[in-house]
Amino acid sequence: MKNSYKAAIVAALAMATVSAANAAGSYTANDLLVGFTTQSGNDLIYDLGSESSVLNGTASYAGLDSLLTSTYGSSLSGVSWGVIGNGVNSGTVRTAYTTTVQGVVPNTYIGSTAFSKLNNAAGTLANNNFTSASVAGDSATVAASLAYSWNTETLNGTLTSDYVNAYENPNVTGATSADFSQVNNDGSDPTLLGDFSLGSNGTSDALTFNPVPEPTTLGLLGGAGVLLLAFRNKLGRKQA
Amino acid sequence: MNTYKAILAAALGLSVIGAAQAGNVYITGSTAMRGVVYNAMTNAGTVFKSEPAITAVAASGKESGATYMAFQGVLVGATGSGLTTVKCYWTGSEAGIADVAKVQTEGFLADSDVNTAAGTITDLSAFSTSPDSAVVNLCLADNAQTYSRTTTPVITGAKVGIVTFKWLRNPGVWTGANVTDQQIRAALGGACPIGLFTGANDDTSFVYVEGRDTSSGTRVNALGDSGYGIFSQVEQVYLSSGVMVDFDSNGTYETVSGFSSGGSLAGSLNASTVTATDKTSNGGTGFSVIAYLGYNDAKTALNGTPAAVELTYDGVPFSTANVENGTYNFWGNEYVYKASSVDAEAGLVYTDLTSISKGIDTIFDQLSAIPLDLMHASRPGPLGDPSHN
Repeated sequence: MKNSYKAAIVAALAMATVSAANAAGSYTANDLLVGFTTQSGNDLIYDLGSESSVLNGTASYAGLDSLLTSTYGSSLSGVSWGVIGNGVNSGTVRTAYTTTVQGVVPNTYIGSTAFSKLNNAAGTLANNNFTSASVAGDSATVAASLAYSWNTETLNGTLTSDYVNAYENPNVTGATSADFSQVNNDGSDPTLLGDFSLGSNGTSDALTFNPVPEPTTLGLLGGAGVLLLAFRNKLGRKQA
Repeated sequence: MNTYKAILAAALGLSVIGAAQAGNVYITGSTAMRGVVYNAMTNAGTVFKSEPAITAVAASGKESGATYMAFQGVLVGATGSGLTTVKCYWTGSEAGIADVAKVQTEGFLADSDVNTAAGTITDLSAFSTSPDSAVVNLCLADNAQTYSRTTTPVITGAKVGIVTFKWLRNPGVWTGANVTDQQIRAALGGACPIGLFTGANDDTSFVYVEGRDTSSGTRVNALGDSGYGIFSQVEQVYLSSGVMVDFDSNGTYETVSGFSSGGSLAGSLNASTVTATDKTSNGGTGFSVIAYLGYNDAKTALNGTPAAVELTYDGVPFSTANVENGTYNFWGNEYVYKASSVDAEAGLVYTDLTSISKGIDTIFDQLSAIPLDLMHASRPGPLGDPSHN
């Protein structure tokens, strides 16, 4: 009886594994994908969650630290990394997200065809590396030499459909910060949303996001500064 | 006593299973090659010693174009006179490689259907309720395993010839006669403004690609040959009687997937889309589609009504000579693969199919498939250009 039960469980598990291995993944609009590569060995691709969850700080990046440690060891100094994502592929204005070297403004692009190229590149990463529609926390390690690795898509690809050729290289290298921008397909200037920072090792909170302060927040900070200055001046006059 | 009964029942069960599965060989893979395999199986002396006593296919049209086939006879190379049934289910090259490498099970024509057939089965419902589910032994593939989505476990295979493909267009808004790699890449990426095809400053209508799903070797060759990338995401459309279908049910009317068979794709091209509604986000009235097909499926589309139109590829028309010399480069290397563990009969069928100048290549029609010894050009795979030998 017990053996039959075990056999049934084993059979069910085997079927589930086969099913997962055969399933093709897909890219979920607005999700941000972070990729890491040393251009050899294995790349790591991870779904950070929706752009809004990253910007409002609710995204947790669960398990990313341990994945980085298991893939690259204790040092991330030679690892190239970047973040990309796309909004919905419909409507008049379509939105892409990308990291760049700090201070570098990402390229602009115009039209739905140009956006489709970016969208297909993100889709190529998700379709071939995930087993279902991408969700926050999905991850994959893939040989850097393969056509659908982060290395090929964003850094060293030769096809016109590769992200690096369809748009640009979103990577920075090592423990540093990268600007993170929103780029619409109407040719307008990109909008800086904040910056991602990578720590020197993946042991604890390796990747963090720091948003550009909202104008209202800046206003409040500015106001507080003025008040502080006025208070200090007043205090100074009294002491004199 | 109960134990004795249980053992007896188990033994009987095993013997029944053994009897049902004995003598069957299971093949999946390339839909583009199904006609060639049909000819090989029914040709005396290639796989069977004489024309099979039983040939069963499930097809509503041409028998050699059936998705399900079964042949029964005495194999070439067999020592006795025992009958072997070869069952085929044409799933697509990529699916075939996955079947064989991962030791997967597929559904084939049931023994009961095959054994009672006096000639040809044409009623698809006759077997669909109780197919013969079996582990796949062999597959035919239009691309090497190294270019497939299933690169491991590595399986044994042999290159047996060249399989040819064509680009066609439907009777749509665009009326051109040639397609270039650049145009193909642009259209594979999604809606391509017609101006890129006509040379006019016109983006009022669009050219789309209709194509196969990811199980297809024809798709591997189309995406590889054009330089788009075998694994790169595509945005294809799916037409039914000239009407765009929301294949993924997400409102986009574009899909990364496509048709599961070349025959269905061929049929969809026989419709005018000059006044049809473009249901993608581009909107408007009138659009065009181009499609990639194996030779025989292309022939079906070219003979349909209204007829699809054959396109020259990068300015070169399809001809046997142009393929053999490498000037026309939309073709692939054809392989037969076998599972890591096959029985003697499956091993014999593999040998029969792959023996150069004695196997399947002897009945190649030199249109849909070309023997290796006639080729003056060769290529490593769909990502490499042909070089003259």
